[in-house]
Amino acid sequence: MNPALRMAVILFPMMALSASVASAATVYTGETIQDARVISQLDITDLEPGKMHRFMFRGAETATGQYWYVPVLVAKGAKPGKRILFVAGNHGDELNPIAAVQATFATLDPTKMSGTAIALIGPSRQGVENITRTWSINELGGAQINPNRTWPGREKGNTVERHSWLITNKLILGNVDVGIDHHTGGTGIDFARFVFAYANDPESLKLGGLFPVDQIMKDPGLPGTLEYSLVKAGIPAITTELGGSRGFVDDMVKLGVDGNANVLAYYGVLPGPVGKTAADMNAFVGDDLESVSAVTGGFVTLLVKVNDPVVKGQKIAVQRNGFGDVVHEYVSPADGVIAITGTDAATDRGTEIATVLVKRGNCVDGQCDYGGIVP
Amino acid sequence: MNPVLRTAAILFPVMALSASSVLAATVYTGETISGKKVISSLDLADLPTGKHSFYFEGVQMGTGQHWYVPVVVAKGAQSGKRVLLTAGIHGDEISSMESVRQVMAALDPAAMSGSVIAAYGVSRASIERVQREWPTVHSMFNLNRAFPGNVDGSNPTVRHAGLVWSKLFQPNTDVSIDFHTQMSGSAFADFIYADLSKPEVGTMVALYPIAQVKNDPGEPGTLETTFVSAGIPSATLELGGPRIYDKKIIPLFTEGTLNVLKHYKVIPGSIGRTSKDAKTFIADGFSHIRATEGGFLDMQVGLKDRVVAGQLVAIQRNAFGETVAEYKSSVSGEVAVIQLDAMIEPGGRVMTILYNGPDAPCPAGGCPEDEEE
Repeated sequence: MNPALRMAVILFPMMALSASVASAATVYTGETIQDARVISQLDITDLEPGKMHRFMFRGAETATGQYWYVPVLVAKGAKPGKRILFVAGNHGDELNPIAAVQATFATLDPTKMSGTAIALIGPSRQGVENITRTWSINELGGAQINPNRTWPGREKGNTVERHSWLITNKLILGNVDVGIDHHTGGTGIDFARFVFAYANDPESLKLGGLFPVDQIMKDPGLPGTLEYSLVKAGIPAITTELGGSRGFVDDMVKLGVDGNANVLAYYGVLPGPVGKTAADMNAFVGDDLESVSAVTGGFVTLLVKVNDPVVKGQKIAVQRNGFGDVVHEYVSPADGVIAITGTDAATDRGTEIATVLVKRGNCVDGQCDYGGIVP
Repeated sequence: MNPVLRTAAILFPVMALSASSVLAATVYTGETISGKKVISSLDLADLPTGKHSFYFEGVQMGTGQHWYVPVVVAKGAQSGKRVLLTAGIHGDEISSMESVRQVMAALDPAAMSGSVIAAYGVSRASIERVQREWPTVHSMFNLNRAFPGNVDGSNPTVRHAGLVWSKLFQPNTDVSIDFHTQMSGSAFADFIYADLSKPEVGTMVALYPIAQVKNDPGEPGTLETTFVSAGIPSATLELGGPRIYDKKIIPLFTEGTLNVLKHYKVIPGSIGRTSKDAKTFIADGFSHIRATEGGFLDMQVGLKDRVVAGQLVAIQRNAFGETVAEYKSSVSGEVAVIQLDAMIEPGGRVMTILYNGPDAPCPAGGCPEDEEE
């Protein structure tokens, strides 16, 4: 697009807006890729109500100067209301979220909605293509960047930080009242049906309770996560964990879909009652995580599985060397329930074998170290 | 693009053509990316005189988005030879991109008889990673062993090769020049692989003012050999080392390629420096010296140095500084390839000597596999 034309595209919607939001306007680059119009900025007030809109959001540049494009769906209701963001693929090897968000949007009828639902499918563009947790950049021979430690991003940061900054500032802020960031365990681990919700934000805790999960952790806010960056921006948000990585697992997809429907019903975006929630599942609500990590290399036999209750000192895993000799036995460090297990039997020293969700009841004065665990 | 529109885009140019070329037509997908129209098929005959830039729609990624290859066409005012310049069929060979860019920048379509097509960074997934091979989720593939490819093949690389071969390269090419460098970790001299048993290839290669030419029948799956097998002259150029712009070597290949275009009367002008000026060393033997141990290399010779049989060319030491191996050339010739990384794993290539002699290889059964090309 020539500069004059591009300016016109930018200016025209801006003039139609009130002065108070002069900087916000949907910016169409003029490109259309695979039938989706490309945008470099979103303002959902520009969009026709009662319709499903699809876009490619132009993210950061690739190493050769082409762009990464993120598929975006906007279901803009006929009537105004809450604006809910659903993110899937913030990590590239976490696939259940993609099926869950796509299934939710397949059933949305914007003519019946009061408010808006926005879907971001696979924002970690390079990670999703490689089915990897990290996004690789070429700097100094190659660096693996965890996108979910880069939020809200940096305008002049590396490719991944820049990409997060663009999504935060050109897509999310101003368009979103509530955020759901769907995850799973990474490659090599399995997660329970689980929600992370910021302990000091009642609205985020309420949001977490809308998912029919087995476990909820009131978290301290982990810098760099999308969840915490939204919470800090005044947007209630949670991180879900829909089981394990890489595949589509029906039960886990359904968990995401059911929770998404509850969120839309709870905020009045869709009519209808809230269905089964965490309370109905008798979810275990904890406030700390205790991880058990391998103290040597070897092959691990797990004696527990996700959701098992454990007591402090209970044997949970045995590790053997190549000859079959037992080299270590692992015990639970606390009372609680198993939230995460490793799935790769061959286990490097320092790798997580299992993590226990613990209920301390009081996390002041450094009593909870949160296990260094990570959405 | 919706199917009806796409069909229309295919049919319209077809109807304008004679019945004999019904299959060929430039297909515009209807998309425009960063100001460039996207094509899924190219027919040079459809284009007016001038320079044209496109994105060629390559294979899909795992999520269903496409890889797009930048393509520049200089279509001459008069008809003539159609020359294809390809760069970045390996993703870490960056000098190749710059030499092709320099050639394209020198072209004036109004004064041209014929066309030049440039395809930049053909191995899309690997050039983004600055690595030789195309990474897929579970493996890596060498695009320059995948030609002519197969659009229904069993991995994205062979499908991508099939698309660029059948929709872009093969229907539009009378002469092919494929620009490479050595892979990460090593460097080539200014060097060309060519099958000199094909007279037209020999004529073309002699137009480059470079140090070394290796005459061989080529490797199956390379773009060069695929073209030569199809009766179209082609050569594989090696512009030194990987990853960088080599400002000494790039101009030699730019000059040589402009010579080729002059030779074919695609552009006017007199031929510049050639292999005669450069006193190019032409041979058909490669002697690879491989590391017998792991350790650190102390090179005793450099690229293009002449060596004689029995000459010490590298000393290898372990972490204690003790000598663990001394490498000698078994032939007399010139150093064509040298390891750049000071550390080398066992089996790694310390250097390669280009040589001629009574025992030059390629006896019955052909040459041993040459993985460097």
